[in-house]
Amino acid sequence: MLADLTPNQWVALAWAELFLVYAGYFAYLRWLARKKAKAEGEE
Amino acid sequence: MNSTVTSQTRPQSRPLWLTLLGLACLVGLALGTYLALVVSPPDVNQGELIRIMYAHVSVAWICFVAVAVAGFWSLLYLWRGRERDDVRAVANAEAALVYSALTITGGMIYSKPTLNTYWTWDAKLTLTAIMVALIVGYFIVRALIDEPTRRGRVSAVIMLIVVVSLPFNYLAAEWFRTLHPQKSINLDGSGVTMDPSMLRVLLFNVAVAGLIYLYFVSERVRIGLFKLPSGAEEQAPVSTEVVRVG
Repeated sequence: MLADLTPNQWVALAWAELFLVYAGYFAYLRWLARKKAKAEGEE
Repeated sequence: MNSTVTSQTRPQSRPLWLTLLGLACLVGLALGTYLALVVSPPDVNQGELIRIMYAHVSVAWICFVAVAVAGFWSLLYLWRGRERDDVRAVANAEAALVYSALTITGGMIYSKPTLNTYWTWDAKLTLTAIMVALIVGYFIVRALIDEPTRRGRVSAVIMLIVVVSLPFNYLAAEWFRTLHPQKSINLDGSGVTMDPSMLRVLLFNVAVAGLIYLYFVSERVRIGLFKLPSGAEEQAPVSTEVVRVG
């Protein structure tokens, strides 16, 4: 249960979420760049 | 008119400054995390939970910046009609979506152990939820409209509506009763109600979030401009009329 987390675990959760979203958007940008490069190569 | 379509930039050829900016983001994020989790003293009321504030407040500020900049480029697009302005508006709108999602989820994680609830429908939080819904709507509208000029114009108007909501969102904690804490840093000059050691850590993390925002937007604009015709920047789309020939 999330409600049973200790304060330090809440802190870890908040920062982990921040890192995950940053990494996720970075991965999306890499994917988008590869997709566009591939599309250009096919033209 | 030059009929040759050339790539302005290629995703493969990332400029050196952008790579260096990315590295600076990594170093800054590592240092900001260290300052927030290790160096910052615990708060007299919130204890260790104050360390969530550095993650939450920094992304919330940058979310406002991203929306304002997206609105700026949207306005320019409506005025000049340059495709490049639309690309910049979209890049900032994506960043605004990322940072607003972080603001809401981070705020919920912060709120549960400190205020004993994840969410409440007061003015501040409701306005933030509406802002996120409008930004999501911005991308849904863009996906539904094929014609580029109309797509750019309609989505630009939506972004300007989001921008109009910003001042209300910023001042909602003062104007209405809310669970959201009052501001510790008042831009009206009435002072800072935060320990200097905490303020330094917060400002550093705001700067890091801003640096990461700059990296994301720069990279997204670079990808967005890829394959844009070289003359597109100067050509305002005058008409969307389709003329049948022959």
